[in-house]
Amino acid sequence: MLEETTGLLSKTRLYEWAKQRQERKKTVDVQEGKIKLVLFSLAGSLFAFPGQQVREVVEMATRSITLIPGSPEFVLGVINLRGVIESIVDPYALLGMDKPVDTSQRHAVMVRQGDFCTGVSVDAVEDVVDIPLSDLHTATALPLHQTLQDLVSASTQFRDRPVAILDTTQLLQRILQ
Amino acid sequence: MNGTEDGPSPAQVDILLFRMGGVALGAVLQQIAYMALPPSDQEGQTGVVSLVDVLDFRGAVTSWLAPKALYLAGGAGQQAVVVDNPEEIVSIDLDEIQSLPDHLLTRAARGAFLGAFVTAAGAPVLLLDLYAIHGLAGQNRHNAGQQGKSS
Repeated sequence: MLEETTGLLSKTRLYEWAKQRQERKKTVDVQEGKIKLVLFSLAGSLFAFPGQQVREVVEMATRSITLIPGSPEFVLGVINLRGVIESIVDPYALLGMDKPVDTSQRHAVMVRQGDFCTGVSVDAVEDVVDIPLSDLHTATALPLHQTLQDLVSASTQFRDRPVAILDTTQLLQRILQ
Repeated sequence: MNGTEDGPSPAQVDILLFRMGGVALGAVLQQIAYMALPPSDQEGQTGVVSLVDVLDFRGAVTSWLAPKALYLAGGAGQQAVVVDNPEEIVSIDLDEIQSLPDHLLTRAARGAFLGAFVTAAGAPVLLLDLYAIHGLAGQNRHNAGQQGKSS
């Protein structure tokens, strides 16, 4: 009676209430869709590829890239990946970004779209995370130049840093042009 | 992957290996009639083209060790592609040759490679199509001439 009229909860009821809240939160977490992102850095900024479009991450520090004479500027060359020759592209040249002089590219993210696959050389792969879909936002808030803005499908935050999620389809189309 | 004097088996192909600007390259022996020193007046001979004039090595080829002209088999007249320092001949299985996607080449170089393969040491070798290289040289000369006329 007291609860109904005053809104006060006894200690026992308070525990029950908290438990119910917890269960409800768990249900929401399970039901909410998530997207896997492979986070990487370029010139100090964070970018991501949707995990579905990433085949693997390749360590590049000990791997040599073979230049292909006659290739466009954004093609770094090819590597031997377990006997298969794979192409590696330079996102700085492809996206029209200024490449810091002291940068070194430690990883290549192998992205795929249908039968097409290529490696994108990045400064470093930072993390692989599952982000709730509700944490995705439009990309317009990010301070990106127009060329890059066209290739970004959404944005999110990772440890309080903005992340630009790249549209793999658009990116690969640009490579194939 | 050793060359044989009797030639390759039907499922194999012999490749002449050389290296330019740090890039391992190969040419199919079937496309080559013979190898010789490049003619001294190469400039005046439209049938003899230098590989570096057709493919952009991004400044990686700074000097030549031992240039050789690879004269094309079945070519009408004296058609050759000049490459640097051929080293050895290897036989590889045809199914070891992997295709190179079109996006890896600019329009001016498209078709220049038959593909690529990986050596036993794990290094990729780019396999040139000498006929295509020669054709591209003619095409590029033609385009340059057209541009010269229009400007």
